[in-house]
Amino acid sequence: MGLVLVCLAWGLAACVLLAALGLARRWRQGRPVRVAWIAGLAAVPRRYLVDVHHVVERRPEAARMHVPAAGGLLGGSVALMLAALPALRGSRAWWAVVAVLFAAALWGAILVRRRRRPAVPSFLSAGMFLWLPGALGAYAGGGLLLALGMLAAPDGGSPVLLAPLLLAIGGAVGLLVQFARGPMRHAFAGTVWLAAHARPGRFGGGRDTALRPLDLDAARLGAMAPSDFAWTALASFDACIQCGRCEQACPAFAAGQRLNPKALIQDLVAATRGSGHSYSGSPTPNAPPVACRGGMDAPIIGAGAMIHPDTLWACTTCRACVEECPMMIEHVDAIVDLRRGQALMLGQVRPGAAQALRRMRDSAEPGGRPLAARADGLAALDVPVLPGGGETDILLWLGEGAFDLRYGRTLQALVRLMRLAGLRFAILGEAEPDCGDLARRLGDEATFRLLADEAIATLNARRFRRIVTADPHALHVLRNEYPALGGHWTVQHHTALLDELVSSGALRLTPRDLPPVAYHDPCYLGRYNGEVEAPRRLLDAACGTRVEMARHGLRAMCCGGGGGNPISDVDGAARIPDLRMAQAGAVGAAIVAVGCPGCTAMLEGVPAPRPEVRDIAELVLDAVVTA
Amino acid sequence: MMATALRAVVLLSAGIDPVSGRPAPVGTEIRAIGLARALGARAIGLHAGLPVPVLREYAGYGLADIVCLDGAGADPVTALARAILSGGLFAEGPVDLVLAGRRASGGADSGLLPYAVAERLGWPIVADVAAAQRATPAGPSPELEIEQARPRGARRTARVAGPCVLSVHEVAACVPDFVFAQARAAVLRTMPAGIDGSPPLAGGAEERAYRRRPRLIAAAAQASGGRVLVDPAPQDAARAIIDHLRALGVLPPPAGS
Repeated sequence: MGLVLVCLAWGLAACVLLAALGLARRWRQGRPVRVAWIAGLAAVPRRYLVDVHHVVERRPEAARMHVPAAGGLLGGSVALMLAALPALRGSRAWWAVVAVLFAAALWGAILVRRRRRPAVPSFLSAGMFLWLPGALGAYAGGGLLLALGMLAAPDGGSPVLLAPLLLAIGGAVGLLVQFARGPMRHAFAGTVWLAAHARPGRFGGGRDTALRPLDLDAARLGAMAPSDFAWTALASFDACIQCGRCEQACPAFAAGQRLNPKALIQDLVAATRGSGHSYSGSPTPNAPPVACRGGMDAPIIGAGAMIHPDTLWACTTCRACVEECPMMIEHVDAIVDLRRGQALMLGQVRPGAAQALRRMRDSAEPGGRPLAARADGLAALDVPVLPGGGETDILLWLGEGAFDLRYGRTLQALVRLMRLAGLRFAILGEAEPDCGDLARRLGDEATFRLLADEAIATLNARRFRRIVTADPHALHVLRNEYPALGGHWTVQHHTALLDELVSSGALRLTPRDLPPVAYHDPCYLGRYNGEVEAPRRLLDAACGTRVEMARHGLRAMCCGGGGGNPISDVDGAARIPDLRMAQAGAVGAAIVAVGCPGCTAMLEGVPAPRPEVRDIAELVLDAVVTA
Repeated sequence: MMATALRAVVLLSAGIDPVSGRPAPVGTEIRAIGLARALGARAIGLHAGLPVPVLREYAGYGLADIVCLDGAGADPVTALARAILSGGLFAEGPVDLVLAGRRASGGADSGLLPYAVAERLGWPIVADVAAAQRATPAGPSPELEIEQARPRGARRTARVAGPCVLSVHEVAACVPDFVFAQARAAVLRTMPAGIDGSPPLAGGAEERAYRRRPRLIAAAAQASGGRVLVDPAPQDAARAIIDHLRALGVLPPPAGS
């Protein structure tokens, strides 16, 4: 009987291996990428136990479930396989070990079951997940009983054990189906993805958020079919365990816009499988029906394919889903790949976006406004313009927001503060083109490159110590994305500069007696650049009371202004900034402090009554003490 | 019987963006490409001059084939007319339709050019085209039903038989999608213009400062003074606006009338 059990474990392992090869064969149809396998595989334990665990433990019950379920299942099965050695097979102690491991797995199965009882939470999927605890429990329970039987009589072969054997076989078959065609493949796909991750810099507390440059001479640009994705990305889609954390974090989903990151990843999985799928989580809100047709080389986007185009343009590229994903999936990279295919190969962008892109190509500015008008808001302050070949300490990059008179007030406050601190700085004036952020997020890499090349040449023709900007989107592009194209400078957000000036004593602040202030983290400053402390230090020094919204810091909610969402004619049940302002109101904030022209415009667009919107520079200027 | 596709030539200029002064495709010429596509025409771009990079962008808007007339600078009208009449542009037959933008953008282009080319060709010209469709979609005749854009949003219909010249208005809604992959793959062919000598107009033109001229308002747009409604009910106000737009021809007449 012991030998039968051992054969069962080996058979299960062999079948799992076959199914894994099937998965790998499918992934290999993706675009080849160079993977540092040895370093990657060596890093897997650490990436799993530290980085993945760090995300999983935000929901402690999920972490507690995995220890007995995964540990017991793997440990018990391996222990059974090792019992192929006669010495172990004959040892009561070994069978005791097997029994303990399977008991743990059985406990894990009970914990798995509890996640969906009495009702399946909206963010979790049903479907095959509903009988997963049954299969796991049958295998673990059968294994436990058999191990106990062997413990009682190591040489035994009692016919009484036939029933638990059948139970274990049934469970093993169930687990195999769960692995080959169901969610349990996340164990294998996740391991491969952790080893071959597209952004290894994210592990160990690092940050890697810059979009990768696209080779504009390649035959196919971006992703139109599953085979256009890097094979590692295909593996990452299979790694999704449908835990729904992305969907809970997604601002577009919350506003009823036609995007659910979880459904998107599952649709991409279905596209690789070719046909309609068995997804049973919450759907993409309000999305028009699609034909659910796919295939490795078939188009993914379109009413006649797998994903409706509306889904693609609802994304604000805020990376909240990426931040929450325990499998470290790169949703935004997938969306931008798909957008690149639509924009560059098919010209299929929204009319509003098409107009902005045309103006960026023709006038180097998404609003089609004269570049000389960018500094109009600063006209009264007489900021020097840095000519080609000129030199200064700080180059102030104004960004697209400068055309907006409201944001001009922020820039005026910043300039006044820099003057008070006695800094030497200048602007580019007419020579400042758009940095291309919007084009890049919309997938139009060609237009981005056009603008980036011009901006880099302009900046490289001038000498300065650092660049300061009040626009986190420009900050991200200049700091993180231009280096790949030949632009290397020190780039600072204005809150970091002001924080430096306050802590060095160059600016002295007295906290004013203000009603509660809540800081709204811009996605491109917080999640994209990890800067969440300096703005808070400034507010603490400038304002009386500061409150925190439930979602703040790296887990803050987007204002809805990123990724070209506002110009992409996105339909929804609510507006994202309305939701965000309601969150600020819920914690009693009377002022929402911002640090981004996009957030300013989006949050000020919320109808009254709502908290007042002030940029940190304005609040700091009000609190500054002039000697 | 299937209608044969019209053979259209879109006149392209090396435009500049009026805001930034950078090389850019001209909006009305982009719409001319869109109009050719809306008519289901086979279109070739024709540029009097050497191939310049900005021409590739027109290709991005859906013009796969662009012909540049080398040496046309001396007399672009003659060069263009000769190329159009030469029969060398389309293998299938003569040109049915010439499409152009209605006014200059500020680059080396001219709003007068479509008229001059039409005159040289001896073809009729319809200016300020907002939309067009084939009068008999199934027939072989290249007769077109044209909608002309008039001031204040009014529209006027016209009918013209090809071959003809159309100058496209900037309100035409037919802006094609810009596809980078098409721009990248564009073929810019260069043909000799067969013109030599200096421009005939050189020195003959007089330059004058811009002066605002009294507006010539077409009869169609001379709507009466309108009605003043003080604090009307929303329904009455909406009704009055719709009636006014119908009177201008912006909206179609009510269903069933």
